[in-house]
Amino acid sequence: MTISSTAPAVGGTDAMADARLGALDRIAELGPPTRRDEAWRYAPHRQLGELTFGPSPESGPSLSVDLDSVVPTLSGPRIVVVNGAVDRDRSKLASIDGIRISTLGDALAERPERVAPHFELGDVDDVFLAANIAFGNDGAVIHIEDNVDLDIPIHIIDVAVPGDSPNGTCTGVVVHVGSQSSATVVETRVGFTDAFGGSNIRTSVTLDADATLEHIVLQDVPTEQIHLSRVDVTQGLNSTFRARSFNLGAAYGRLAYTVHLDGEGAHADLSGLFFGFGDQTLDQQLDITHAAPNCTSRQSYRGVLDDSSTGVFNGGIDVKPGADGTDAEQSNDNLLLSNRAEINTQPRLEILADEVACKHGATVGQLDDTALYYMRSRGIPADEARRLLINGFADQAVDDVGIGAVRDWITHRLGHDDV
Amino acid sequence: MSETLREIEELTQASYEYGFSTDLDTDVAPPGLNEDIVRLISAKKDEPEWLLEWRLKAYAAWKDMEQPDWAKLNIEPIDYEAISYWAAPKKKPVLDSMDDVDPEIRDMFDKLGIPLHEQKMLSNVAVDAIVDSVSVTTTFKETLAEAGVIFCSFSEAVQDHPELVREHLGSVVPVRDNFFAALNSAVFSDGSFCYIPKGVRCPMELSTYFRINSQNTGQFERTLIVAEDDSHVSYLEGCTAPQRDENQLHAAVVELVAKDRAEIKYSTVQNWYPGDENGLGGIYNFVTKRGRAHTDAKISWTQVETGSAITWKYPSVILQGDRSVGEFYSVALSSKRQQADTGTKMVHIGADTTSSIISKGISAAQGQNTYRGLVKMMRSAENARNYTQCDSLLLGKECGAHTIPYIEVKNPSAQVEHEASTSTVGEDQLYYCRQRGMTEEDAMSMIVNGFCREVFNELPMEFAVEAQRLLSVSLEGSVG
Repeated sequence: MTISSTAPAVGGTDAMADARLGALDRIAELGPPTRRDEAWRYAPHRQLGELTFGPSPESGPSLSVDLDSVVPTLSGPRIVVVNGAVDRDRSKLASIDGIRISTLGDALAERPERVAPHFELGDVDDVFLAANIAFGNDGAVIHIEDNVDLDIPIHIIDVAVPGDSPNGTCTGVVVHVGSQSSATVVETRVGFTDAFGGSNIRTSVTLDADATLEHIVLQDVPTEQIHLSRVDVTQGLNSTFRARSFNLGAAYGRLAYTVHLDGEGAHADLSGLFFGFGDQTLDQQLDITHAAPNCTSRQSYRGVLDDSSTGVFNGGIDVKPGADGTDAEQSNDNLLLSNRAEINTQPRLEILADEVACKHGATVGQLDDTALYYMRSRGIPADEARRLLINGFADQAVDDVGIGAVRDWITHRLGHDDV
Repeated sequence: MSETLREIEELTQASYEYGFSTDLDTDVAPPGLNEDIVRLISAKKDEPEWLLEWRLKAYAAWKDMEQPDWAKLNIEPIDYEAISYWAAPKKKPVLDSMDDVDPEIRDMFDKLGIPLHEQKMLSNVAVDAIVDSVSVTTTFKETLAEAGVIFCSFSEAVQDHPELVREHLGSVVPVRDNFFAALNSAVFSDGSFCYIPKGVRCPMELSTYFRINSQNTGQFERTLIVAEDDSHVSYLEGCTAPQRDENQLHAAVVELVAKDRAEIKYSTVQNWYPGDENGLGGIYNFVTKRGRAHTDAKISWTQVETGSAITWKYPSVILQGDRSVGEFYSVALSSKRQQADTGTKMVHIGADTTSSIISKGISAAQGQNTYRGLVKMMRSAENARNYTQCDSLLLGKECGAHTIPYIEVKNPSAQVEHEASTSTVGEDQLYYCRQRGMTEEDAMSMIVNGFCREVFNELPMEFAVEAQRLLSVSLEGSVG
């Protein structure tokens, strides 16, 4: 990874300007990830090295494609980001009582305090996060006041299209859910390009006491692209965070989550599906930190790998001293469909408190021959039987999604609806 | 619970039962490592030219390596120039009988509860006692010789069976394998060599008691076990060490070769000085253990790790031949300020290979226990199977239990299952036992022993008893 400019993005407070300069130094210190970096162990290091990042253009190229045909059909507000800049013509920034939806650029100009944590450098050791802090100054900001129940999803669509250099783009998403409020945010990532490039999307989520957020990521960018997604969540007292991720596109599709359970009784529930074909590498990185007592967390991920694709699951549960009463579970089940496919799974537990119940499990296998035989003996053709079994395995993740239109999009995308 | 905590604190103060030091007149090389020291070691041992070359190659590799830092361990920097790489007990005349053994050494074994002069009569175990790198006495050679089994110190093997050593040395753990293996290859002092000929079932359990004796002397043991086709051997390794204030580095290498249909069972009870309650002193146990299993062969590692300040080892099996089997059974206890980063690697290359991993980690006081393991299914590993179970038990507020498994699968017909759990001893369990008249300490000991039973069951009889005793003694010092 290289940077195309030593001048970071602008906007916001002086502290943000300092953080951006610090981020540039950090990029120089860290350098591109290698196999020795545990979190990037199975990533395509050469391709990552070819990504370049720099300041986003004022406005992205105008879209001449039918966006609606490739994203789920959701009514309600939406923000469309093209190559790291908001496309206002395609966005619907409707204002709803108790909810403020704006672009990150506007928020930096008008209410920078609301997005301040998003630009804190801290002890960042992820070079792409540093790049996002340095160069990402547009995207979406969703601010939900206390006691608001939002029953329509907010849709953020990130689109990659052929652009000028640099070949990488940075987008920032900031979501704040106030006390006693609940909301659903869908982030769809698509692209219309056959050139090499990468999108680097960083989502910061804060949940106040008793807040609930369902956060869905649909990653389906072209297979020439690199997709780097990072969702950082901080949870308050008794809050609930539900993440549903579908990692389907990209040459290298990486969905990383860090969840900090800072308030007592908080609950995090993450599930997802990664379905790889061709030469894809689909990487899930999860770090759940139990920092307060009596929090619960669930991770449930399924992987299906066909052709020469590679799946990665690196899930961590980190229980800090004093986080007694922690109840954490993690599972990763994988299906290998080809002799050339590969899965690398690493379910980690790091526990420094004693009143805990933590479990994890991982399985790797292939389609059950007995089940295939059973179906064939009942007249179902081999191909169809195979598909039924794969769909059955994958659908468990789809069923976890609360929005019908999103479920339909996924089943259509996976080709399940025409069985 | 406050009473329990008080008891725990009280018992944490218990000092190391085997903490003593015996004065032996040692012949020690000046501290520091360079080519001359490697040559000196080789010359002292009257080694053939090829072995010196091999050592020098390892030294050259080591010089360019850096000590790895990826483990979840807090290691005080090791000054490799401050270590003396050679120490030998004073030369004694060749002994005719056990009575001629240095009384000091015999006394030391008595303190350890291993009266060497009685071993011959009491048990059917041959003991190759190692005091500071050089074998002092070896027993049962005759019985073994009748069966054609070669069991001797590594130095003797180099002199008497150079062709066997040359063929297999470094064949499983190459000289540049890792930092500590390279260091060991350059400066290893002695160790054990074991060769089981074709079709022979070794008539007795083989055992070596390691013991660290001289101050500032790193221990660099080298063990090589070769089991020819259709043979069977069970090897036992155990150790205790005197109390020390300075950290002592122990970087051993163990290589196992199980040829077609052979079986090697390697059991370890490790109880080196863990350091005091402030984490002072204690042994650094950085060991490379690996076996290669050929067609239909089986290698089984069983370990009970209760000692050392830092334990850092991953006994591994390369499942090269079709239908070969690998097993790993482990109990690792970290108390006081002990740290353990241990586990296993199962590399499946052959078809229909199977491996199972049962790991029990116990953390008490300020102990940190990490299971780190790799299960790798190569493309060629058709229908390979692995089952892994890692359980951790936390006894205390300040300890930690970590599980870091790596699973890499490149063959769709491979089946891999991994399960792990972390829990604590429930108040209700303790209450139930106490209600029935057990002391808190007995109850805890019983629960912990039950937790480890799956592993203890795998130990040979001689060790199962010792292991239980060790665990109880270790627990006495850390939990109620």
